[in-house]
Amino acid sequence: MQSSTTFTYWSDRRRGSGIGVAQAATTLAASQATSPKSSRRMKVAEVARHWPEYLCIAPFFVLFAVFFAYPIAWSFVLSLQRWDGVTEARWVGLDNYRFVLNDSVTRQMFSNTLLYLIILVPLGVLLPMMFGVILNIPQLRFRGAFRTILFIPVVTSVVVIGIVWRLVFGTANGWLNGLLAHVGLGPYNWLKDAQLAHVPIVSLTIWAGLGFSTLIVLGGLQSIDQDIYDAAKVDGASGFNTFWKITLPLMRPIVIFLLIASTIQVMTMFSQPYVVTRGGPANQTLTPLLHIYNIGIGATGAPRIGDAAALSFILSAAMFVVVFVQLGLTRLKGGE
Amino acid sequence: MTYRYPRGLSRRSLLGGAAALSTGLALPKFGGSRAFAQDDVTLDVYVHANHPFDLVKPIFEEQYPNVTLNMMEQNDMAVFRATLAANGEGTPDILWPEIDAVQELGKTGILLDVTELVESLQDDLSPGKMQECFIPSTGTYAAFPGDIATVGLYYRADLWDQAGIEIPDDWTWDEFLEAAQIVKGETGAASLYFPTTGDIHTAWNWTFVLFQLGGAVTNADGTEITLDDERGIMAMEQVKRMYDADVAIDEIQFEENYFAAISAGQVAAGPHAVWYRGFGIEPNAIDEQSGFGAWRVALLPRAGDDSVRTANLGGAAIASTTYTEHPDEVKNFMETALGSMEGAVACGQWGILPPYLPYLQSEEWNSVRSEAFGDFAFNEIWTQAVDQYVGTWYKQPVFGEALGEIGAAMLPMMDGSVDIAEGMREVGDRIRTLNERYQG
Repeated sequence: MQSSTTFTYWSDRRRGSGIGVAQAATTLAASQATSPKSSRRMKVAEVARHWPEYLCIAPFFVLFAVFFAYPIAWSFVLSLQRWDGVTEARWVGLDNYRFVLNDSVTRQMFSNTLLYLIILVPLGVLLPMMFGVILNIPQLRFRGAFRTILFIPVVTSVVVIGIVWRLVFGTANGWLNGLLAHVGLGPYNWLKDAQLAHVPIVSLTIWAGLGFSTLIVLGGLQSIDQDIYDAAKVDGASGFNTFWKITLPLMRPIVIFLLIASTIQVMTMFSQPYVVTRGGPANQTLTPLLHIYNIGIGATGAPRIGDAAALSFILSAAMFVVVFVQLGLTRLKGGE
Repeated sequence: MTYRYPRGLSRRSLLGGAAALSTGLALPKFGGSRAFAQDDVTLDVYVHANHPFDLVKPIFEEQYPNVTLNMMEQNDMAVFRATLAANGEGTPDILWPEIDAVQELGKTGILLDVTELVESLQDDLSPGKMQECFIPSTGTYAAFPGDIATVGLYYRADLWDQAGIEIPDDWTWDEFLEAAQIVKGETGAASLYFPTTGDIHTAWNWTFVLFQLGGAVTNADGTEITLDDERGIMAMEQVKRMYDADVAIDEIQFEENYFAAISAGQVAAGPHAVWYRGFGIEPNAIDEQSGFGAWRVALLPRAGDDSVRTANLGGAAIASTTYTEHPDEVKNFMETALGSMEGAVACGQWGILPPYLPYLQSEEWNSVRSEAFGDFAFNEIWTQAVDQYVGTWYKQPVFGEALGEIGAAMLPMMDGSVDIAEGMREVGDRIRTLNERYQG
């Protein structure tokens, strides 16, 4: 009796949810059949009947399985093994996780990342908002030229610019020190001082990412209905009030996107420290991805693939936590 | 409504097409390539662009007309390792690995055993370089000796003359530092490099002194860490005196800012490897300001009473793997390239220091000149360095990572915030933990 009621409920619900009558009938028939074998046969028949549709969506699943699911699963297996890429891998359980979590370099690397999150994530939201609003002013002259200039770093290789950055921030013959010398300052050891070394990394990251984020903001700003601004104008709203009470709330999804995107960007930063400081001085600019690369690829010795894989999963977990906390906070702020 | 699949693409035709395509793709696998390999052999050579072997290629191909060298202009060990992980798919026949990679891969048995070849030529090869290719745990040679990366003191005779100092035949590092201070006072130029990047580059000076003292980062088979022994501490104390003397430029010798300093006449001297002549001096010493024609080489200052006057930085070897289908041709190439006079001459002209001793005694070797060095016979100095090149500088898999750790730990020792003996013990313990992970 109980099961019959349940069955009726689900049948009705399926019909009501817009699933075709034929499919509902199939489901009904499948449910009525008691043998699991016949149920399986029904499923196979169902797939066979719709094979062209399944064939059409298959490429995605095949590519996903080959290039995403399998590598992730294999990486997890590797994270439980000690392997140099040549000899037989050896199971070590959670030893790799234990080692990298207790490693002082891992602590240093996450501490660096935290610093970059604190500096770069707010800037990654505020600067594009500022530039976006300025570039959205219809009366601004040479708007197109400014937008183009701002977008140029997006299409420029970070590696190439990183080399230029090294020349800019060099100590003895650096361009910046050369400029500062004219006003009686310096020379500063930009690339080797534990504190100053963050300046080239932070400035390169902002320089490289600003154009794209501003483009996103501009897209968001231009999607806001002009009628709302006209209505606010009629009501006598000031420019600040219009921005604060109309633009900003309507831009909330964009802000959340920027927040999450810049967080992920910072936590997966690689090219900037790799080219500019190599993670130095004394690991002060070492980022997780650079460290994973160094030990996984054997950049400084024989590869420690298991340690690198374990560190990758720890980084992924950290990213999930940070992004979920961010999402939770923004929902709280938004009153949801 | 019934969905109908478009006509002309039935399941049957789809399967038929797929079968035809797979057959077409599979056929070349059973085709002529095997037959081709029986007569003519192509050896894939993993070396970077502009490599000494480019000069050996015509000599070898003339000697062995059925063998062609395919210079791949690729020397990325990560790519090479990927081919090993793929069970030899795409693994080159010949590669040019650094010694720590030779030691690491040699232990696994994946490298081609060339013991017979090396032993047959042992009287003509540098013993120090041979030792680098010897795998203690297997008792075999896993690579053929490549370039001997000895280190000497490059200096600008014009700047040292200007300071009124003549480089003596024999002196200590402390005497060198005193002289370098005078040179700096007179010319403003640095006589050492000491990058405070806190990485592997910070540690090079320490490795030079440690080499001179007969120490090493590990023991011969890499099972023990020895960097914090008495010699390691003595070497670090010497490096602190180098740091305190304030005669160093704070740049990495391989990077553009150091090259700019050479060009700007800010470098009066520096300990560099033999190959640095072509790598850093000749491209940057191009005018009077940068010391064109005034560069010289001397043996390193002494690090102690019994110390040798050279050190090591880099120095690859020729290796192959057990995946090669042409081991005999590979060994022929090894012998031609660095175990014969013709090959050694070609490599020596390029700028490396071949391990073939008859060449290092020859007129061809001693007559090599470079415009940046005027008429100076620098190779005579390098031959003396080879004579002192010891076989106790062990570069095991942990070597690179250990130097990175030492470089990071050095700065507090240099500024005096950490006691040297204590700092070395700490870094030694950390490397011991890391080294366990390299022991399989």
